Amino acid sequence: MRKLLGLFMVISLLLAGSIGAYAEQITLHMWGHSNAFFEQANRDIIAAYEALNPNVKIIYETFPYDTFLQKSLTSFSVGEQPDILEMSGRLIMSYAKNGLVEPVPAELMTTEEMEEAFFEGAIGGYKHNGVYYAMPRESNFEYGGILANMEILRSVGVETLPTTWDELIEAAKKATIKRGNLISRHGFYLGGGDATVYYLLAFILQNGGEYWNEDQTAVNFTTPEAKKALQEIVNLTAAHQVMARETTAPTDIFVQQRAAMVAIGSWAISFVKSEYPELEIAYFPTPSVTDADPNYASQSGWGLVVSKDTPHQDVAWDFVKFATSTEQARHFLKTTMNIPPNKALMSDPELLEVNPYLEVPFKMMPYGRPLGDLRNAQQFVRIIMDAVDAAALGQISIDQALQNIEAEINQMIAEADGR
Amino acid sequence: MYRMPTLKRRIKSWGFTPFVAISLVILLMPLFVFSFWPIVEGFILSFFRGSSVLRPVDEFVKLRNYKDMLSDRIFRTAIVNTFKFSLMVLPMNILLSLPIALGLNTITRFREALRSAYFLPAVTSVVAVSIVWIYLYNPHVGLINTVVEVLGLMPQAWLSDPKWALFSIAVMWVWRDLGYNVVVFLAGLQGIPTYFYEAARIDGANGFQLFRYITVPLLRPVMQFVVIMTAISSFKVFDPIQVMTSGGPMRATTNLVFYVYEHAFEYLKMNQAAAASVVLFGIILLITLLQLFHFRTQWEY
Repeated sequence: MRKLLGLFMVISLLLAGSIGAYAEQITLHMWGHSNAFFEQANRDIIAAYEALNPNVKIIYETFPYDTFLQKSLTSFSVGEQPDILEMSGRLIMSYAKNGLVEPVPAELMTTEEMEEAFFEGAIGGYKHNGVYYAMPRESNFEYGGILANMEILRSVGVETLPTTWDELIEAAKKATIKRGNLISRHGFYLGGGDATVYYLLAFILQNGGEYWNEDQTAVNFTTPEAKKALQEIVNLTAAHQVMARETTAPTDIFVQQRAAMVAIGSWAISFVKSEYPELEIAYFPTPSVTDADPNYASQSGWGLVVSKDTPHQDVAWDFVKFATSTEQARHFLKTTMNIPPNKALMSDPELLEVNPYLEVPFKMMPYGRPLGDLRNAQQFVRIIMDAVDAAALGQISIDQALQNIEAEINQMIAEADGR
Repeated sequence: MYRMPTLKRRIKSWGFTPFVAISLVILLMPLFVFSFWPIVEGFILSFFRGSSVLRPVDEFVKLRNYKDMLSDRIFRTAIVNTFKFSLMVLPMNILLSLPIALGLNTITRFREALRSAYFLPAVTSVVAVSIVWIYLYNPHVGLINTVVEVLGLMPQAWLSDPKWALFSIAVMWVWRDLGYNVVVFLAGLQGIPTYFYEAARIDGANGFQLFRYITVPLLRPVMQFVVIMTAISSFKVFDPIQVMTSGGPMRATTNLVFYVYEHAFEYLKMNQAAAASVVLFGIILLITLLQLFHFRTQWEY
């Protein structure tokens, strides 16, 4: 009888053990955008996490950036969303407002801890009603750096990189080549939706202006500072004639060697270095357009979010915590050559060794501040880009362009706020 | 005693066999699910405002989305561009495809090969073709400006200049769509009985008269089809605009379909996008009905 009882207990324990082990097997789905460097870094981090947690399997899928939004929205609408998303800072706020993603749990990081650990500009776009909804992976740096083709600059007698706005324009004039009524080589190219918007906003701040009202419920672009800022951008095509507005992406213009200098985020460096190693490049800080500090506004970069209804929230957040820990963040940033969001990694020697170009953002980051709640970032960018294009092509006046920007953005904000 | 009619009897009373009825249901189901139902849903959506992109029918707002749309200068630009594009594409396409089809109809050697060559762009990926045309239109290294300069003309920024951007895309679209119309016209020309031409030649008709008094009238049903299909295709064009100009510069290439896409998938304003798509649907329906009415023929040959 005692033997039978012992056998029964052993079998029960074995069964309980096997059932327990089975129950602990967790599969998480994570989505990100297609980018070879991001994918490599994420696969490494996932492999490291799975090695530490053998009961967790993370299925990582990527999609082209342009279709990522539609794909993720569709997945939420049919309840097939992944557990974890790597999401652009531009989108996180709208997902948070729509209640699609979870706030960062206090056990992972409190609001105060986040603000202490990360740069304000890196996480400002994740905050909704005083709560953060994502953990940052990088800092966005659309304003603040200029990519230069040193071979072109030297060929026109520019040996040292410009340190003031006037020097930049002079160097650009020397490097510009015209072909009939077209510019076949831009001396300094400031184009594309993002760069245009970030430079306009930075120029307003550097002129001592402000584009938000006090409580950020409306924008104000009909100010003397905004007029000076837009005039400076229009001058590039009109007075200085160092560029022409194009529909081609700035990166493509640079690698086709159709520009001596291009205003571009530091994210482009890894692409140019790996795909066009023959190009001799330099990356230098954008000089302030005035005598003031090079103040600028930046949007939050890529961050990790956890979906609202995931059944494995605790495990999902555990992975996010692991992926954004200092050690894994360093690996991610070394692989992707992006800018750290963590204050702890500012001027990190390991990162600088891999990517010496990081010195530029490291120098500029103290001047950055969050862009503010744009409500609809895509529309915000498009409204400004259309107006700047029209002013630069001489179709409307500077004043008219600024009036259009102000009226259309305020209408968008009122609509988004239900007013 | 009254007997309830079985489903089988009821179907038979409609003149169908069960097999035909089942086949019809199978065939109509996808059409209903993927065409009719989304149209109805889109129509309903256009009268609502949502609290979020996933809850787009929270508040019934009557015609507010339509009013907002009409007061939006981008929408008005999109409407104008949609018609401008169609007015560029339609004559260019017909004036090129009909002579090519007439030429192919007169030759016997290489006809199949040439027909395939003309049709090739129509079956090629629009995105791939658009990327190729971006390079052709490149103001600095593109073939088109090279030719323009050889001809002693000024090179242009074909896709960056608002004066040229829509026309440049229209040219690309005609190149892509041409082969389809050539094949349709050629089929129509081959369907015209040769004895009409023989009789006319005996009566002394010249080449132009043969074309004017035999080909054109007898090609009318085909012309109707080609005009309707080309007009609809030009109203619905999206891919080359998205790839080549993203609706720019200065909204010069923003058409109604791009407006719908931008509002739905970039601005996440599904209700406004639905209202714009209802307008697009209405325009296409109206034009189709007008053309059907205008080109109606009462005879066969």
